[in-house]
Amino acid sequence: MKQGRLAWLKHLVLLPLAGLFAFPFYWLLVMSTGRTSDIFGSPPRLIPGTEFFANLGRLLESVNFLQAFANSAVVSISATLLTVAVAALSGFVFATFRFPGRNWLFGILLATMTLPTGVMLVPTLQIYVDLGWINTYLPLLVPGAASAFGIFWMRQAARESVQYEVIEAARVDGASFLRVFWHVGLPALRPAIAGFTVFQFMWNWNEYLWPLLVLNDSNLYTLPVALQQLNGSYGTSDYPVVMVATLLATIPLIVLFLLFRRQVMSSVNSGAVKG
Amino acid sequence: MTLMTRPRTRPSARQTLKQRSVWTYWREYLAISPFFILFAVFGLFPLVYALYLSTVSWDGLGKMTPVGFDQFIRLFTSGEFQSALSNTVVIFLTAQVPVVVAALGAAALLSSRRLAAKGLYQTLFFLPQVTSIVAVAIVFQSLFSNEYGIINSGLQAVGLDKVPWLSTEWGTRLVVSIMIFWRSFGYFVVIFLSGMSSIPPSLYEAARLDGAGSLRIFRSITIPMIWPTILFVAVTGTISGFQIFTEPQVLTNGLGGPNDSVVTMMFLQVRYMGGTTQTVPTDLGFATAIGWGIFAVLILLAAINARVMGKRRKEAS
Repeated sequence: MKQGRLAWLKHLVLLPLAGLFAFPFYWLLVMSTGRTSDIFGSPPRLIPGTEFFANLGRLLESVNFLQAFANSAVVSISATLLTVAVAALSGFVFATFRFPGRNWLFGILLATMTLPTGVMLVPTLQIYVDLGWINTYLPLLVPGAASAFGIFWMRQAARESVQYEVIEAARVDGASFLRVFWHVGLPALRPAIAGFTVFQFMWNWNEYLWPLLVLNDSNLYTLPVALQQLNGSYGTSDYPVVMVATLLATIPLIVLFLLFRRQVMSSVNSGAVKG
Repeated sequence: MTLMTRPRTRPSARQTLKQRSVWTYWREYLAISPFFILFAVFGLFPLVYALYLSTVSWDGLGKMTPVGFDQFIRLFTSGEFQSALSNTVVIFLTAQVPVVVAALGAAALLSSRRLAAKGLYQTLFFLPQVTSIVAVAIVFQSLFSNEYGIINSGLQAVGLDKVPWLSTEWGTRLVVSIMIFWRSFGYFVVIFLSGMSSIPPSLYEAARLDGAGSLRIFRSITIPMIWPTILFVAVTGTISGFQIFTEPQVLTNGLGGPNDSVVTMMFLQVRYMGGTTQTVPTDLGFATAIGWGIFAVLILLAAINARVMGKRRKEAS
């Protein structure tokens, strides 16, 4: 009985809190389905309207939003696949193969994670300029292809789940290096790969700083940059258009998260993921 | 373990098991090489390059002018970096610290095994974490808009005055902090919950039999047991908290807010690169010096963290 009362008290705290956290999403929905006059009215409209498709139409007419959407999809998917493939192979090799200097090299890899080299923006940008990478997607794909954090994660997973007997047996049977990885490593790493892929995709989809710095051509903009530009130019005149774009940019990740909720949560749970 | 340390046994025509040349491991080295190559090119080389760039003044287009240590003198004397550092610290203290404390409390409430709708709460709290910071900033810009924002409309509806959120220094800082709070709360809740789930229930039962109350149990069992998790959160949260950029940049349309009140260190660096709304003349040399400033602050924080963690570990053992 005491337990029951305690549970009620907990819900009394948690329920309003949950409402508070859901409100910005609800408000985004309200604003993207209303008219400008609803938003600037007094009192403002509090429930979703019926103008969603009209707003969407104006958005598609005025800016190349679909292009940005496609750009984001292409960049995020390729960057994610690349990073996950490199991390899985490197992590697997670090975990299950023995070679001179292995522990030493892995120590270096771990040490680089504490070195905040990422804050040096100017020389990095200058390297991209010298390589002719401005207004290409290469800066968003190549430097991040090998993630120390991802390799660390995959190595941990491989140490826990790969059975060395299986690898030995495969080698005795004369299986090649890549075949061992393909037939033994990948299946054993599957849960870790799923978690890492979802996370990596979310980071790539939301990446803002580097696209802002290296993409000057509006046809190449990814969603966050396109959204920021849209907000700058339409924010004062046509609010619902900005809100429709914001809503559309948000939906893919929410759907992805709801589909893979368990993998994402357990990845956070393994304490492996940065904030 | 023993299986792992055993050398590869695949026979090869060229060598015996005992004396394998390093070169026969080329597949292994090739497989792990991408990280080391990319780190050398995009991690280490920029540091060397940055030494040089911080000794020039350059708008990125014309000629570089060598200026010696002037950029560093400017870094220490112009006051811009100091005010960016203090803005960063203020936002960190008003956002990151409260969110960790609040998340700890919420995780304690959620940690009981029989609580209904536990998964639903977790999902709802986590959802902001998966949304783009740019999208979040745009929504918060409108929520806290001075004239037509729903927050001010709500305040007026209950008879209070409007708050000039985005046109005052502290208002803008507060909105940035609330954004960070909203976006990272669920992530910390999930981390703390996982830490709490590994505490053996027998500990709680024993404490309850001894007549300990909920608060006492939280203080004397939960907190000490999840201390490693708390430290992990403190370290990662500090490092990312000191690199805040997107929230203030989008919220203020790239301008930095009233009196540059939300110009953080990263924001200042990007501003001098000409990468955001142009309010200062581009100077890549000064931007590089700012980069060194941020680098130094983060190294210092990492050292402090390592010290504190080492101390704690000693106390624990």
